Amino acid sequence: MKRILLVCLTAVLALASSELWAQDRTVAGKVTATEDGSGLPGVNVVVKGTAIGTVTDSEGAYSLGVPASADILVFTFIGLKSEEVQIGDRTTVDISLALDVTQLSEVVVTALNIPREKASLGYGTQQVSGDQVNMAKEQNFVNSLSGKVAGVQIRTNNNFGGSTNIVIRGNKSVTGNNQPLFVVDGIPMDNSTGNDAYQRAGRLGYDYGSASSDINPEDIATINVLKGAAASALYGSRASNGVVMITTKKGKARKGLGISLSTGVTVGKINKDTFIQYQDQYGAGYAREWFGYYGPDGFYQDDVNGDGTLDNIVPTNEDGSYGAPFDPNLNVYHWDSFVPESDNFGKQYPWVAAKNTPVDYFETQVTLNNSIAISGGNDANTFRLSYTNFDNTGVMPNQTQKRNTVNFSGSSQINKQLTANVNFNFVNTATVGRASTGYGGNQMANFRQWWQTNVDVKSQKDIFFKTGRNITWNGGDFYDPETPIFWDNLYWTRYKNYQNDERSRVYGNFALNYKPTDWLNVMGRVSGDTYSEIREERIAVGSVPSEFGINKADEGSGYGRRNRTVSEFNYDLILTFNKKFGSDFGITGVLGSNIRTESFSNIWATTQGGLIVPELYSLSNSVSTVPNPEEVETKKEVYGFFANANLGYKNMLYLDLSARNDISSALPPGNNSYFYHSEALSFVFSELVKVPFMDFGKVRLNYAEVGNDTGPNRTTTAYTKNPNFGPAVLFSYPTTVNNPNLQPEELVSYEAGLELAGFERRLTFDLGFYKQNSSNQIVSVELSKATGASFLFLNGGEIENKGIEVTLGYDIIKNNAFKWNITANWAKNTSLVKSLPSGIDNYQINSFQGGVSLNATVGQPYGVLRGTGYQFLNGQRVINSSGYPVAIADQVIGNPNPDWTGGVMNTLKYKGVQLSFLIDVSQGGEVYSLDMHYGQGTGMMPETAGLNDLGNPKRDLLADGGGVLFDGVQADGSVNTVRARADYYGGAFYWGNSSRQPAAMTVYDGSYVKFRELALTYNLPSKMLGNVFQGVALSLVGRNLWILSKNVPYADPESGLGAGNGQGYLSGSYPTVRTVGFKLDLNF
Amino acid sequence: MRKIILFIFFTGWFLSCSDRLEELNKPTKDAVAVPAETLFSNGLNNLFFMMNNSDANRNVFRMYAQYWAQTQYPEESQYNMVTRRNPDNVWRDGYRDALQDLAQAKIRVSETWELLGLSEAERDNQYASIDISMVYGYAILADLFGAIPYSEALDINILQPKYDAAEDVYADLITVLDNAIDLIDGGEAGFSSRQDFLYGGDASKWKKFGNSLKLKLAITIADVDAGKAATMISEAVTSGVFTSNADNAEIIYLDAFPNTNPIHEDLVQSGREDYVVANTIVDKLLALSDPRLPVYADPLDDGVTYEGGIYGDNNTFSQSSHIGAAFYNPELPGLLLDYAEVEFYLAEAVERGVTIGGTAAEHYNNAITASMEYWGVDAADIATYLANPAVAYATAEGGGTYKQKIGVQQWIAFFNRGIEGWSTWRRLDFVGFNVPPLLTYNDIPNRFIFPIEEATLNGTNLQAAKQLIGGSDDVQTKVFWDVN
Repeated sequence: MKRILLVCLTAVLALASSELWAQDRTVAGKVTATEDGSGLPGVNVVVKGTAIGTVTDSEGAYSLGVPASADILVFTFIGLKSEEVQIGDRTTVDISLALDVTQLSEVVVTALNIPREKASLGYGTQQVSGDQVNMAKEQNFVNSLSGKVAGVQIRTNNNFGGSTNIVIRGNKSVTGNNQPLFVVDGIPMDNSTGNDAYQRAGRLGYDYGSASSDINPEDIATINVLKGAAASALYGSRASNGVVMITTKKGKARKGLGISLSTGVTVGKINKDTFIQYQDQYGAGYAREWFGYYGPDGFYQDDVNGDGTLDNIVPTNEDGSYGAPFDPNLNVYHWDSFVPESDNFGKQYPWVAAKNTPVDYFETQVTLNNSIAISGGNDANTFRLSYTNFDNTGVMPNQTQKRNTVNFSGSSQINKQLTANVNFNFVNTATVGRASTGYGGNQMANFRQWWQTNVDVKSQKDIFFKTGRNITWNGGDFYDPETPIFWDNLYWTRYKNYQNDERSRVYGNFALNYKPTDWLNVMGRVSGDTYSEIREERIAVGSVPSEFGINKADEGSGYGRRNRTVSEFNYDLILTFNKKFGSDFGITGVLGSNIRTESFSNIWATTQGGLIVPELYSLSNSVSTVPNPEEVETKKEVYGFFANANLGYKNMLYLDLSARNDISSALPPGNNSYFYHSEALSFVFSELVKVPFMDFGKVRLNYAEVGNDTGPNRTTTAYTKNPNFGPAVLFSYPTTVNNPNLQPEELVSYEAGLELAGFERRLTFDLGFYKQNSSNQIVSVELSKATGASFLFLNGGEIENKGIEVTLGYDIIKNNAFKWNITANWAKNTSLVKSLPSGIDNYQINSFQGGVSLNATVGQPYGVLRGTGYQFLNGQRVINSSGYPVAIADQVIGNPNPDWTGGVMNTLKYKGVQLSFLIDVSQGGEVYSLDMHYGQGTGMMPETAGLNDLGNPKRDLLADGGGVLFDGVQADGSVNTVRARADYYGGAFYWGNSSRQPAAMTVYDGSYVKFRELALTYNLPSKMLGNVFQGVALSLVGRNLWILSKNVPYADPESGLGAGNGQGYLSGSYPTVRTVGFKLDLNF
Repeated sequence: MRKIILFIFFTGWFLSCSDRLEELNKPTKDAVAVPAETLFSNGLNNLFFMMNNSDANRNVFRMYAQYWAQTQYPEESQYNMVTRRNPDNVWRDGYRDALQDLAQAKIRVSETWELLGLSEAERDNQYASIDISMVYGYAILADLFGAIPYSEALDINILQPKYDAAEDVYADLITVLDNAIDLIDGGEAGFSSRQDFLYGGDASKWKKFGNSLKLKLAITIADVDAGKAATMISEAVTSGVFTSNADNAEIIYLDAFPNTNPIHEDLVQSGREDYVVANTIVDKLLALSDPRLPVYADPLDDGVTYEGGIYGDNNTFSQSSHIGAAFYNPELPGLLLDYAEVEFYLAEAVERGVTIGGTAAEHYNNAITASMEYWGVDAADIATYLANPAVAYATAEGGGTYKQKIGVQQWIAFFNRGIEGWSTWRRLDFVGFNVPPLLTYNDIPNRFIFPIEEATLNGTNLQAAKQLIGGSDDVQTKVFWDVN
């Protein structure tokens, strides 16, 4: 295929180069800025009425062969006033250009990396500078976009090295990917997490992070977000969720080598507002002394010391705190009283709340980031080479991530017509001890759901480091603390049962640009992104059995490895032309073709039945035969042809037309070719009517229809191989049935917008409206299991997203010394599931522990939470005769989508000092907390203890005035006066009864206002720098400094399982890490 | 113009590759066609799994039958089937994992038998093995839910299958079963001995299983259609039912996961201590001095005292009798139907006036003997037990009403078969179940509620199904054969 492309490329070059223009004489000169007299590079110089022209070089100089008939040169540069100059008989024409405040226009990078004047665009885009993401650094630069771009909703999950959910203008696909496409310098980048379904459903697993985190923020020059379908149509169908286009820093023509050094250190601590608080009145157990099997003080009893009387022993096997009230005068045997290596061995000691609670378990996060970049160039060749080392430790013990990035970009002008560009990146990321998410084996679930308030985390640490053994507070039998029942020693989990992974990635491109004439450019480009990754997971011999491995059996030890390789190559041939007709009309056009090849392979293999030799982590060290590995290999090719024309009239009216046809191997033959198009209109009305104080005004309108294919291997049904039963071979009909009749998906989008600038450009305003309908979606529809299958791929269904986006910027103070700018953005998206395939009215996106699911329900926004809800009577919650709220099965109990999101960025500049800070707001949207569901049930939070409305301890028996009074009415409508018992776990906070205590009880408003980012930068004045430095900047940065407002108790509303369609569910959620640090930038 | 030509060239080249595109989208690591017998074995294995597992998310019937009690988390013993969606999971185990593979196996047999050179008799024996297994699975689902998709089930072209009333399902199952029994040629081979882990391809044993299943279905419907039941019983006995434990429809599990008895995963592999023996069964066995007690349960640390966990409450693992050591053995066999069960049915048949030879007491004694022999009780102890006035047929509790005495003994024999234990209580209404704290006797379920997910996946038909069972999808509603 490559050879064919080359042949074609050569053919095009040969065809096009025959059309050359006659030149009679040469005019040269220099273009300078009126403001400061400096040379202006990149100014367009054109002979009026022709297409003959050139651009100025890095010093502002130009030289142009012109026909004898030429008499006027037109000098244009975006943001500057255009000038027309009579040539006469001169051979040197120098000129200075002044700022034009009526031209807001900036150049933005659009689809396929085509730079365009923003004024000519009939669709909304928003640009963010690289500084805004590399100042206060995060593991993934995408986190730093939060609150900065209107309509881009970002949810960072607080999982160490974890994935970031990013959705632009709402979720469009019922089951497919809703994340935008990432493109770096024209290279589409894989951004998958590779998190398995088990992890996504909140069971055991790790969040392996988003692959976009391989993009090194130090190398980013600008990020441009293409939000709508019209903007991204040229990228093809997979850009229908929007595109995050990244342009990296490039070398510039300059004297000598430029060297940039950057070094940064940040330290982080957990934000205690996002972690559980414990009641300090009651300790281990599930009930009080009057309940069943406890002794008179509420403890297990046995004659431990052999003195003939029964002793009190902590119920170590009960992972809750609903037990005996603390009493400093009561001495009991604790878990470590039975550990010979412990100082407390054989001792009874006071029954009190632990001194070191799990909040003391967290460590200080340290992030080091060092980067060096060398750049240089002359008129013909430029390059930039950078190396970055990122080294991060987490807040959990034994948690590190190291990333090394090498980036090279170069450009070479081979001759007047031919330019070659190359871009190459190598990234290696190695991580140890990622966050285990969800319900199984996650220490946050331990701390938030199943904990004894009497257990001191430091004593767990001490005993682990003293013995190296799994001595736990949670022995099934208190005499045997080395046989845990549910939870391992906290440090054993981190140091023995950790995972590790490593990813090596190469991405880059090579492009040849051939410019036979000044109005035509032909580009041939090959770009590739490929990585291989290994993920290793382990359970050490002696651990609590947990679901593990291929068969998800309970395994007391084991090892698993996953090898993934992902690659994508793109071959592009793109003709761009730019022609003026007379002085009023112009056309910019693109004609091109693209071949995309994707391949994916994944092998997951695990031991079974445990490990033979402890601490040896290899597949051959399996007690039972290693089960059949999970083996996935898919390929996909898409061929695209596209054309685009942007017709301009007098810098005032622009019509942008795009068309593209794709042929995809993922669709069945006959349905695999699909055409789509977009039309966009931009009207710069300020060119026509002059309004006082207004410098620039534009309206934009667009319409787009985009088709989409699906993932590979969804058209042919294949059987599943199960492990043999003895000699019997077992195959089963698959749970997911494929469909040979799939058709392309459709997305229809409308957008309108208004852009204004006024008061000498101190005020900027951008308003956008959109409506998008995605229909005929390819959905793996869940079926009644009575069909014999779980899922079937089908076309159908429609989701509508409507929204408003506003960006408003104002320079409150603007003078030579001081500038204060406030830029605010606000966006509201409303989604509605209009229909689902085959007439079903609900699609379950994810089903979670706690009987809660996430759904696409017809007539509801995308992603609503369903579970047991309250029963209402005249608007009041119904309380049953025992005082408990009545539960009704399968209700919509929450909508995780925020009502609106926004951000306010303040930037203050005084001479060399710049201060910026960002407030990030998300309003509305609900989350379900499994942590609260179980954590209250096990009596850990303060609200489960203390006094009730009568002033009596809640945990006293009802007969003694205890219990909790729920607001609501009895079934007969009378105000509830019946207290629910709260003297044992099965009462007012119980999780296990489907007819009462509905899931809706732990649904919370997910709104937040965060003081997200603060950066104070001091640029040393040039006179202090001397000859060696060209720039020195010192910055103080902070991220996630305060949560100014939130309603989810003890957790960050943003926390969750990871990126993907399953949002709004908190289980074992990680606390927010507050970071502060400094950064030093040196430029030589 | 030249560019247009170029474009056409390009397009033509791409379009010529459509074969290649189709090829790219084919699975390269998974089979698109497999031998019928591998699907049969898988479906059968999953049927055993459905009946025998003790996963708290699925098969909670060892609790419902009050054989097992729970320790810290007694939700299932309190009949919470919503949070964990147990009905959904049992339904899935039945339809998707067991019945669908059996149905697919039948399709594959019809597609491939000629190519494989099977005789028609061999083919028919394979069909019959499949049908008998499917009848068993469907009958269990009908017993659990009261109405189930049947006539429109297992068809990927019917995404929302309608429900059929359990009695209609039974009527058709009996026809299918009769045909299957007729089809079997005991002298010919069926599935290969390698794949038929139940009877090693011995068609005559399948025939006995078919007849024994027919006897079971007949007894099940005896209260609602005594005439039909009598006919079926006579036919089954004449054709030949199980005559010893060697005939049992039994799977011998292996010692390594995933081929261990599924309860091994919950009792041993999980490392958890969720289950103890329930006081309901322990107290009954103690009262009867039943020699199966040391098999079913372990004594407390003192080595002599048996104390069952309080059914429906939470219990301390260390202070309650554990489930017997035999059940911690990964190779513990699993059962679909056994000889003891057949003899209990025959005793009941005699009581119901069907002439099959032998007295009710003889069959009753045979049944208890078969159960005890199965669990390794020695002959002397069996004799002593049968002589115990509280056990002996003439004097056992219930006296003149056979339902109480047969019910209790059958329930004791079904200790490792939770679904059947609970169904026996439903069908024969013997007295003896305990009521969990805060609940009433009426809260003990008479059926499983419909899967919660059916409300959203198959809502219209679910509404109609509620009418089929009398309007109310709750646990108090009785299935059609449960008339008392």
